[in-house]
Amino acid sequence: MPLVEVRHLSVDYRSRDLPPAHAVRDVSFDVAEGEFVGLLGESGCGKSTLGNALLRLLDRPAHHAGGEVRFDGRDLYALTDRELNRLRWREIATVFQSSMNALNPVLRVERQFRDAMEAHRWDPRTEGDPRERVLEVLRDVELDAERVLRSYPHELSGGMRQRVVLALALLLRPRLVVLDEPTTGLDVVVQRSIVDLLRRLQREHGFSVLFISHDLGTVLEIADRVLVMYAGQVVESRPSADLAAAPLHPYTRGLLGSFADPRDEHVSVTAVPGRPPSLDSPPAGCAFAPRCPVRVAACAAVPPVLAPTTRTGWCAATGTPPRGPTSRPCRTPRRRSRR
Amino acid sequence: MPDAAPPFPEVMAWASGPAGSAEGAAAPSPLLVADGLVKTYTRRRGLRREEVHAVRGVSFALAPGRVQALVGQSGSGKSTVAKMLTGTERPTAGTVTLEGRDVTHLRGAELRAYRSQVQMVFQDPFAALNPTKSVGASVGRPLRNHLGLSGDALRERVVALLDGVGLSPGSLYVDKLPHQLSGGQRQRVVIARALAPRPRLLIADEPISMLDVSIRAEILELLATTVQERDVAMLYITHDLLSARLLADDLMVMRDGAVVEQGPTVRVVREPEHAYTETLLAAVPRPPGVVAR
Amino acid sequence: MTAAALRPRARAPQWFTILWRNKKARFGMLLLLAFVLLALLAPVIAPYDPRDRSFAGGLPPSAAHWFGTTGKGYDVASQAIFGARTSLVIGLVAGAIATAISLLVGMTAGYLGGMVDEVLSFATNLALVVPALPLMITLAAYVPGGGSEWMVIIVISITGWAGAARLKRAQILTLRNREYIQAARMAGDGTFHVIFREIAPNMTSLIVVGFIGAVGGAIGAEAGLAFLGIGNPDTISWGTMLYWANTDGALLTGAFARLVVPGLLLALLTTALTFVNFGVDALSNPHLREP
Repeated sequence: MPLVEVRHLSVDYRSRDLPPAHAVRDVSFDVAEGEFVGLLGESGCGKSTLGNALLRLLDRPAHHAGGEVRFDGRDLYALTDRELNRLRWREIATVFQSSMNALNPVLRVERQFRDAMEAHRWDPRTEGDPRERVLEVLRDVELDAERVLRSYPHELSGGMRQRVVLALALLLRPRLVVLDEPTTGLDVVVQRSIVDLLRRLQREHGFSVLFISHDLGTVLEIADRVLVMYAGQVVESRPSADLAAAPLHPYTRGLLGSFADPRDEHVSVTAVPGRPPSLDSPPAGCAFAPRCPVRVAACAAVPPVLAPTTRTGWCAATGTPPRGPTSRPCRTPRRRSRR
Repeated sequence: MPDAAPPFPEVMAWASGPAGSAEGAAAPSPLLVADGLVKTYTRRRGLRREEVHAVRGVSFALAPGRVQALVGQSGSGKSTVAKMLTGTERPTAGTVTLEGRDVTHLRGAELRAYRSQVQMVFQDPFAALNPTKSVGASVGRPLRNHLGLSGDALRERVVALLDGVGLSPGSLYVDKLPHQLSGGQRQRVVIARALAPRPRLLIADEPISMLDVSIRAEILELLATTVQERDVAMLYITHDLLSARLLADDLMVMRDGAVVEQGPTVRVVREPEHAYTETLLAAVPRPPGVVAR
Repeated sequence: MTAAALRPRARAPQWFTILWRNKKARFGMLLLLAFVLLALLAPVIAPYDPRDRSFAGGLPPSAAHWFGTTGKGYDVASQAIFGARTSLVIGLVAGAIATAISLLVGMTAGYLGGMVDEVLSFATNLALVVPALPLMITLAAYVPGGGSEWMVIIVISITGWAGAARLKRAQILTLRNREYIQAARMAGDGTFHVIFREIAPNMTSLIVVGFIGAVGGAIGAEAGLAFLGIGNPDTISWGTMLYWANTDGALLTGAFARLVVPGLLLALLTTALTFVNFGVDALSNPHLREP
């Protein structure tokens, strides 16, 4: 059974004067144990909203408008607050872009770790010495544990703070870590080191990762599988190597066209003209159709469905032979999980 | 069908660098020369005085029709260099010369005149436009102040500028407020405003880093066309080596206030000489299997 | 679609809708409206001329005199109603002047920095530290013009601008390094233009909150001065009503209406202004708005 199953999840942003904006529309996907999944998309595509919805962190004006999220078989939206709190941090942890600024500025780092352990009821009898665990996880993220523990957040650089936040997330050995733009805003060299670190830790400890970002080079490099989002929907879901080599959906191709290695002999990029549709009145057919270079007449009328492709994975382009509405969940070949 | 070549408009393609940057081509005479720029801030920390060496002796030249890239991380001093060129900061030492004239320490009316020659394109399209002013008002200010236009002549010129940056028809955008535009459209307005007083030099400080990746190429192309058609010089400040490679003829790498490497872009990127440049290049993601198009 | 459906519905300006939706602001606005109407329609609403001394002094509340008469024989209700005028006018004018001063001082200090900032901030801090009431009393005693209303207005303005100036300076410090301000300077705009035509419109909410607060403060200050006997005791205002009630020993004789009525009206008006301010806060900070 997959660790995370998302079925027909929808999220609306409601306001009194305006029609609701459908930020996430009928999204379904799985995350297997030990799988590193990348969620790729540009601003306004709904990826951050999806990340929040996954953890039941939606706040007004965002509302859960349908669908379910199952973690280890349990429906997250049916849990009580108490049950949800027991799940959070111990089983599912998060790192946001602004997390490095969420450290309490008047408390030393040591205190923040202690607070986290107390809040989530770390039991020294069954789980070991809390201090040992903190030292261990700080060493995992390649920090000088003793020095960092004694410091205040403002005494650490941005990169170090983000490592501290990552350590906090891994503290209780969660099974799933959700990261939303964890490296945006950091220097590229620091970004590279944190991304490499994350990949190494994931391989060593075997937790699942959902890595939400707009940085397609990074996502393609570290994720096992990539979900591409556009206008609130998942349009392509493929193993990253396959997706990078042969993108199927025109939007994915457009995205990949914007990426190139500056060291190549011949460097060229493309742009996708136009803008994403307004989410309060999504078009009847394919949301990408107005900007799509291979659209046909049917695209504006028939909403495409995620359908299995000749290669592994799923794609929602009408260009592939359209299938009828399917209630089959998304499936990708099971990856060998490494622990 | 999956194997068909992506039919998106290919926006920019350099086989070996931007056109006209062939090695050995005679470089046009420089417009602006920066010589030995130094900027030191003194901060008071408690009772002690601390010196922060933001820029430690940077020299370069900018020529019309050419783009010079300045690549560095935050804290490298690249933004301070830009501020010294626009007159927002005064260099502690060193000179800035515009067409032979020393413009390092200008004040008052001379500074104002200088500012019509040197304009800036900012990083954050959300912060670069006054949220309470319409597009036309923002673009019209430099026309009013530097070129003395008003009334219908002003409006016509604003509309022409907006058309020129791809916001067509300009008349549709003149009265819009910034929050009604997308990030890419706002950045075009910022470029239009910068071009309004017909500057000789454009300083672009990370102009695309906050835009969606799928539209960055369009803005880059707009900048490239602007440089060529209007024969302006451009200093392109970025931390992103890809856009530097696409846009710039020459590249300077800065670290901790000093230039560690400089030269033609293609050479620096493909055959770096300094270890720091190699570190920067190593940080670029390298996804496996991305097919060269 | 019919032509009628295509025509945009006439809508209240957005700021009004946001204010109206906020329950506290709505309460405040309605209450404020009531006071404004009271003041405007005073001659119509008040049962008697407030200066009519023909009645017996010290009468208890009755049908003829809703709140009784003062020690000197004025009708309490009429005085209270006309008093609203004085409070509102003095409050508005003094509040406006104080806000103007705070704008000028705060914005200039914040934008120009350096020596100008040092001097102006020093002046602001001085004005903040000196206790307002004793200063007002001292000024009132020595400023020529005796007990005229303008003297009261000036005294209140001089002591009431400093706090708001500090706030405006703080906000302009955050705004002045925004890129669009840099762009304005590069577009050739002069200092005055940048401060008052580029930055100030982005501070509207702070300025309005400051103004409303200043009005509330001025109303209270005026009443306080009048109660202490400063200014002209013959003006009809809530403060003077309290002053006379005090000197006539209303508390001792049990004539509570003479104290409670002006006091309550003062409290209600200030409350109304404060509540409106809650709503204005929501204008600048969308998170505070009602969804």
